[in-house]
Amino acid sequence: MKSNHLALLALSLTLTLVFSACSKNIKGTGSDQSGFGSEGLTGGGILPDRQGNPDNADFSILQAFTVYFDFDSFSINAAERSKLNAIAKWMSENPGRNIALAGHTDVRGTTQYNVGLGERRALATRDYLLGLGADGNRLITVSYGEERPSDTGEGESAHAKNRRCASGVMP
Amino acid sequence: MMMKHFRTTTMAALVYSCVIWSNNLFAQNENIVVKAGIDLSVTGVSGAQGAAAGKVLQNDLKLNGSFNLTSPEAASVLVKATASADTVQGTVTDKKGTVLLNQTFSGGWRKATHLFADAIVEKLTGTPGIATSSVTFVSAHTGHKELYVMDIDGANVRQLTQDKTISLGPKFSNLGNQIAYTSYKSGYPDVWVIDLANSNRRKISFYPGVNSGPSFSPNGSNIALTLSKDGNTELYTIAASGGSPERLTRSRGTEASPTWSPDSSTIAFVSDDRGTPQLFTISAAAGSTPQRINTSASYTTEPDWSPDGSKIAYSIQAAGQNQIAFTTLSNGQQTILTTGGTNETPSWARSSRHLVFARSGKLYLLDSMTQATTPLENGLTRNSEPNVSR
Repeated sequence: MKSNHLALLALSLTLTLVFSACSKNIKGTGSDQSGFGSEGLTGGGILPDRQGNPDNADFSILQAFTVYFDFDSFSINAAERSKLNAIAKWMSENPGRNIALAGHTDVRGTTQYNVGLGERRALATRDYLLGLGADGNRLITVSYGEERPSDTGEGESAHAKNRRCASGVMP
Repeated sequence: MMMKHFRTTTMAALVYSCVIWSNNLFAQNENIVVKAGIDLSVTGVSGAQGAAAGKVLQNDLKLNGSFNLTSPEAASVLVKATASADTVQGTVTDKKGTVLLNQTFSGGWRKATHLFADAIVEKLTGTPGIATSSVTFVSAHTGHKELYVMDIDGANVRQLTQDKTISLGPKFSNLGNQIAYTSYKSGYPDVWVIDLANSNRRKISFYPGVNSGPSFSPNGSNIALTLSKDGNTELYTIAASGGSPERLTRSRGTEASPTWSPDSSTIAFVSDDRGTPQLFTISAAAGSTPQRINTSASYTTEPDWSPDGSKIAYSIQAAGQNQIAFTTLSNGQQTILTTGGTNETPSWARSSRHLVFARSGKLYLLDSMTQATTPLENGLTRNSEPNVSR
């Protein structure tokens, strides 16, 4: 009996670890053992070479599918997933076109960290699209941090509009 | 030997005169000559540029915070100078007429005045002056974030970029002759280095994804930065002359804002690997494990290691506002230096006492000993991300 209990405990611990390792886009919480040393969760691996200039991308075509994020988070919210399905569908219907995934943050927080956070949002969006079968060589990331807000107003409604990953169709 | 003897004698004379002539308190530690303010009077600055140099000198000495600028009668130290267009001849005496400093400085009256101010500070306090320091910063005054450099008193502003794109996070090399920064000139965030002597610049890191937050190692050989080329935003170093990056972190979060220890062995940086952005240190040699620096806030960013190695300054977020604070590394104790508003991007001056930071589009000098905060008027709006030369 006792050894059975131990086996069960070991199994549940293993499952917990496996689940923790698989839970996408959730930043480390609590335990000091988590995080550093555990390789990044991005499924995308090494990024493809840059193609073209994202300043020339057309962000109007897929504007309706801009993905929004919670404060200081790069998790893809369940409510945003249908937009990513739509982008993946558009990509399969337009095989010659590449996409610039432009990550943005709201104005709160500090400049350099926000450049990193914006990139992380673009990477999370890219990873999700890869999971839907999109071709990674057609998905370029660029972070603008807090530098290009879509709403320059104050307050949470403006902030919420600015925490986003916009998809631009490259020329 | 001769010089050293002279210097010791002068210091002794100064301490003596200060004890006689002022009511200020002095530290008992014999290694520290003067801790509190010295009663000092600028009795006259003559010459073709006398009026302008006098103003600059008074302001330099006031900004330093080591002096009580007072009347000749109340002063224990008397300062006078003659300023031509090119040079400043400065003399410092004590109340008895003993000459403590008598030197001519060159390089144009403004620079020469700053040199005189720093010589006064060094002679009277034994600590490095900051009047000859420069500040590089970002301003969106033109509608675009461009790089600038100015003297630490806010004068002598020069625009370094006219790219009409986004330029971010300028940082001086230790010698002050180069500035590394992030530019979106290519449409992507790349790391560039400007040579100030000839304004030449070159793109040194332009990998897929983000290239941002460059910081020169104090020994000048490396640049630490954030790259995402391997699929996540991680900390790397590259040789300052260029070359392939060496990866320092492996995490699930974002690493940003590296700053080096003065011996170039260790890097402090921001990581949100454990949920919210926090400070960590890691060996600059690849393969070590980051160590957390505890602060009072769950959102701590923008670390800057003091040139004497004893402190790391940073900004903390609380109740929607940002404050400037520092941690003393020997005991882990945190000191919060500002109270209201949104205060960002602290950068230590070479004194390891003064910081420059940004608040609501203006730049300020902050004395970490007195917490005195002085705006640095540079005629530009929408200033951010200051960095002081060392």
